[in-house]
Amino acid sequence: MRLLPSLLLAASLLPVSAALAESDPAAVQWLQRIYAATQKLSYTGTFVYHHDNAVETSRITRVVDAAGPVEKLEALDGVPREIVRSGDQVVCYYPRTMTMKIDKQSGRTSFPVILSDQIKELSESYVIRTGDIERVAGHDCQVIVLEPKDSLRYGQRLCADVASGMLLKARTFNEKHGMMETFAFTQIQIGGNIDRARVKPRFASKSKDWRIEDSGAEEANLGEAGWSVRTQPPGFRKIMEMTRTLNGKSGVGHIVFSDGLAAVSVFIEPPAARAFGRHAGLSRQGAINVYARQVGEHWVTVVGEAPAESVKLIANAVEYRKP
Amino acid sequence: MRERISALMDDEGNESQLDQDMVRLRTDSVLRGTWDTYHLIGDALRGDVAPALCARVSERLTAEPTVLAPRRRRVDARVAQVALSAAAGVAGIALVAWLALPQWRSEPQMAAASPPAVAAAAPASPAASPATPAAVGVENYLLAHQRFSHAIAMQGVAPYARTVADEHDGGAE
Amino acid sequence: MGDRELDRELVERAQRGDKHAFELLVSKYQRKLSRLLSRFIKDAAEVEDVAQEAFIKAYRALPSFRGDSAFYTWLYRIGINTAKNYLVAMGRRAPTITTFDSDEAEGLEDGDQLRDINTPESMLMSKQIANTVNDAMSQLPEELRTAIQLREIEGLSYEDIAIAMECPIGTVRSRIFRAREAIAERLRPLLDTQGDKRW
Repeated sequence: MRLLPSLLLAASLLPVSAALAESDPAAVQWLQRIYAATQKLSYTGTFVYHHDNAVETSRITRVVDAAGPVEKLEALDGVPREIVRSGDQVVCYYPRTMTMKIDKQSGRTSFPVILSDQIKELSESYVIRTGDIERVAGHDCQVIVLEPKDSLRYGQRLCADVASGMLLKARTFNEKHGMMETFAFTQIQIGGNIDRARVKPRFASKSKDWRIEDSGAEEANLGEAGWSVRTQPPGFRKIMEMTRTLNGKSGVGHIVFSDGLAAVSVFIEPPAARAFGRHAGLSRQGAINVYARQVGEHWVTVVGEAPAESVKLIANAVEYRKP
Repeated sequence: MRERISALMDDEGNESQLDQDMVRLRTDSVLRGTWDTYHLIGDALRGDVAPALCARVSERLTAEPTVLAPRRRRVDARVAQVALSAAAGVAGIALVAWLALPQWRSEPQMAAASPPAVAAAAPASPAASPATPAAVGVENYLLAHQRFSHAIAMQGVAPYARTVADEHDGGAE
Repeated sequence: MGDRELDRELVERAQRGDKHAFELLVSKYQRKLSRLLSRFIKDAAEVEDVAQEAFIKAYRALPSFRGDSAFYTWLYRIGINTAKNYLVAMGRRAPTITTFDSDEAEGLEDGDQLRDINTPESMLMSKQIANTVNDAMSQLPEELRTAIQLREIEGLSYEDIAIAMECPIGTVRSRIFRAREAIAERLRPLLDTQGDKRW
């Protein structure tokens, strides 16, 4: 579901062809290469997620074979958890609370291959250019920078393996080029013989006693229920709208906006029988900003990889009109 | 000379001076004191202020039989690094800290969480808005949001590392 | 942080008999290690004992360190094992071992950080050091403060800092040094009062 980009934003936006001209075609090609590599490659490695003053290490494995791609992420420190993604289903395992959370989105492939109009979309809000060669996890990598054109989004500095195109490091930065968060591989094996056992969840056999939470996500038209988001920051378009179960409540509205790089989710929760001690306002982890407010008796929570300004803008634009 | 210690400890010194610098550090205890102090500053900024063990460990070390397990001498530092990296398949990224669990914190709490760090230390802090404690169960939002993140298209399932388990169990009851 | 090379250099020298090189590593990682151990061991004096022990164990185990992992990763494992053995020897329950390879205990709360690592006696000194560093930082000219923050807190290389601050690498190096010296000047009187060089 895509809305046409607003034409009123001419002041900050150049016409599409001129915008494209700003971006380096070689850099655009690199982006396409990265997307292709993410879909094709099998790999296994460890990486760190660095944000605020914390560092988290995880192991990730992806195997592609006749049965399709399967990926597993395993936290190596902090709270134990495992995440397995295959096809359009993501399952999270939490051994400590013996809970499995399942999210399945049928009828929609996990991620679209990048098309030329998606690049066009990206170019509206970012200037794409190449940088130097940098060494990451023992591989020579090409640096590609997505420089935001305004302060309503974060930038990305990517390092992609020259040989395979695989993204080995990604750093999100803000206006002042301050680092919001970094994902970086410290060790990786790309291709070669990767044991499929590595993508099997460890707890599958024990999970009979576990609690299962199924998101029950289904596409929906929330406008029919009276909900709309009046405006979005320039460049952001609605890409998905659904209802799901969240925090134990069903019928939670979920709308996703994206500018081609950053995604922002709007959650609309019906009044709960039990209050979870929640508070309105802003909070942040790494590059993710969260803003919550009440609309009538509903709670609107906006979560996204965008600066607080944008997240707040979207949250404040959520409106209910009795249908 | 102190300036060289500063660069050396960040591994940004001149390679050609490395041997010299090492010899100086070995023989000059005042210079080692500078190394100590500079590291103390770094640790303090990261919230690690603890009594130093150096002196006590030094004492014990003098009593220890000297370890002699020479590895193959590096002829050319850069060549050796490539060889080592290729052989071990491991990266040149050292980890900053293993300690803090990623937790949802509002701005005032984040500043408080690392006491010696100046509040302006996180260049990313949203400037003016005072934030209040995040909602319980906010991890669930992140989990639901994550699959739409651009990052997934480029990093596979890696961005899910952002999510933290639902400690509060506020979910399905 | 890019100082893996440096650590390897120091380890190799230590392996060739240079104990001072090992001391430089101790100086660098002592507080990090103490912090790690304080998640398992609540008594600050015991943390110090166990940390010392871990460093000595690491020194003795140097011949087996081959540089496949970062030095701190290796030290970290030795630290955890030393702590576990200590707890077992004291008849206390060792932290729960998860089914993952990681030996880390399950989510312990980060309580008052100063309290966990400091004995009542050293607490005052720790506070003074923290305050002095804070004060000194707030009085630094902005470009010096930013440079040292990017280096010490964000862990950026000089090159990345140069990009972030839009200045040459030489300037980055100089700013970080000047920041350190400015803070060190304020710290030195405080540290010198500790006769036995505890800090």
